[in-house]
Amino acid sequence: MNRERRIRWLSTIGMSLAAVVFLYPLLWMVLGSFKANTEIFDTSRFWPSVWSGEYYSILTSGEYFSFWRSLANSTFIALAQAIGATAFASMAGYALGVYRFPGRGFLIFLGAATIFIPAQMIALPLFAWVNVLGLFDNPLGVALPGMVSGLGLLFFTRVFSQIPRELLEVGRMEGASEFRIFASVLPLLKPFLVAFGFAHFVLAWHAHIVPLLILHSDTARTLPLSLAALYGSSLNSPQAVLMAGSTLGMIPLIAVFAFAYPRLKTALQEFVAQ
Amino acid sequence: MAREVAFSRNSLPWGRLVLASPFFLFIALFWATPLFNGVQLSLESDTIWGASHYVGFEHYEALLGDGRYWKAVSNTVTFTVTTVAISMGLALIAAHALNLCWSRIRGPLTFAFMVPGLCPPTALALLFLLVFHGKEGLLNQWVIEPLGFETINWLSDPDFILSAIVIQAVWRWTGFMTFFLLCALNARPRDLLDAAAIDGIAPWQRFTKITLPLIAPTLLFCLIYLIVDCFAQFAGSYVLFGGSGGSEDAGLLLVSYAYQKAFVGGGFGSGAAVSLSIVPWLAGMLLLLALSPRRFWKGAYS
Repeated sequence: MNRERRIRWLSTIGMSLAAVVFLYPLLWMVLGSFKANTEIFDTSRFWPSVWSGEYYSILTSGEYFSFWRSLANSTFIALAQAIGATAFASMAGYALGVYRFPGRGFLIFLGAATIFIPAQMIALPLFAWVNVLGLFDNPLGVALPGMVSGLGLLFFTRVFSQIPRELLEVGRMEGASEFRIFASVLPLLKPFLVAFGFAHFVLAWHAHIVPLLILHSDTARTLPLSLAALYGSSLNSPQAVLMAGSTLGMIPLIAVFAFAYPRLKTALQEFVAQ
Repeated sequence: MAREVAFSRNSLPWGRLVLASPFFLFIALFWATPLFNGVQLSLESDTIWGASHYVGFEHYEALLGDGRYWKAVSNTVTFTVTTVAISMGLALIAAHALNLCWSRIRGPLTFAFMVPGLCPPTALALLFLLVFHGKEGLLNQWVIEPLGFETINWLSDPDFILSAIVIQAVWRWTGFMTFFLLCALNARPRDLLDAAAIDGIAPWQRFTKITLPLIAPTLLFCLIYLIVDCFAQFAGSYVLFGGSGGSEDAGLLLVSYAYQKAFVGGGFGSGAAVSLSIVPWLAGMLLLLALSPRRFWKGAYS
């Protein structure tokens, strides 16, 4: 009993320390968004000497780039991708998970192939193709290709293959259409839908090479692109502005994550246990 | 019974097709078409102005004798193997330790470990630029100097550039991997573990004989996810080195080399050839996983 308690305390303290190490650079970034350049590299100074929102107002004033516009672009692209990918992958996953038919194996293979050859590897021809479609410099040119998720197909195929058949039979007896039957089981799968949608949202928010090639003008750029451009173009700008931009850019992700976290956990535990 | 047969013959296949079609339509439009175009592009000359012509496998042959290409291959493989090994090792330890933690604090701690994964890679790279920054960076002032070593110029010393990218990737992904493994650990049947503990089986034996086979499918998923992400790594090195490979190409990765060829060098054909040449390397890495004993990954279902 005593030994067990000791182990519990040791691991609690150990993991808490590890968490501090993990979060330290982020904390430093948040504090850095209030510091002048000379203070940022002075490691003996943890707190900024003066707390002023100066760098945040420089950031949002649009002196370097239009912050709100970039944030809106990022939000639109990531939301569209998350909703589109979840809808398409769950619909296809239903068809492949519930039914056995010739060609099913090939379709699953095709989905898996998009995992092994991700968009980053076909970024060049994708960029050329998006140009042909007339979506160059248009957020849709990034959002539409991002709705393909092979991982989602495999995930939902497995989820739907575990659904009790009786549930589907009820709808079938009543003569409901296939889409109605699909829609009727969706509420049961809410944790899975939220978990996948969230994961895809984060990936979309972080995407770099495809948006870099397709989005050129300041008004179309996503937030990560604008921040990278700010870093690359003006080394003399206050570092705090970059840190302020990164800090504000993380808030939507953390908010979405805090909302999705409990569902993510249920979904994954159920998925693994199946 | 008769009703079911009639039903499946008339309306079912259509419903199924309609549901599956948007997904595969998008695959055809935004994945298969560019992939096909890319193969075609890689067989054409690097002409910037005017029409290009068919050159066959010339670009691929040129890559075989290209020292920078092989540097990029070896960097990418080293980066992937080190990142996967360190981050999965840490995640396995962290997941077990979190499981032993005081249960009230377990959720918040797991959450805290995952926050770096939410930080966009570009912001992360900016942040790390300051952590690694020349002689004044945090890492030098807090870790290297107190330990009595000479300060390392992380981003320009060719011996350390790759480690800087590895540390960044490990910091970013370990939390998510820990979370996946923790879910798998919690899904283990309790009675099996209790029985093993009562039978007096040593903890290490319990880990290798019971836990490992049970979490094997999750482990496999994590490995595939990490390997693919490492191979596609671009943002981190792009921000750190502005699309170049850093000094002596020590940080040159395959995706950034393809970007350089196409947009800095102006050769779309050879850029596409570099991009496509990543596929066999990635497939090779994943094949190594497939060659590992089958029984191991399937252990959970037996």
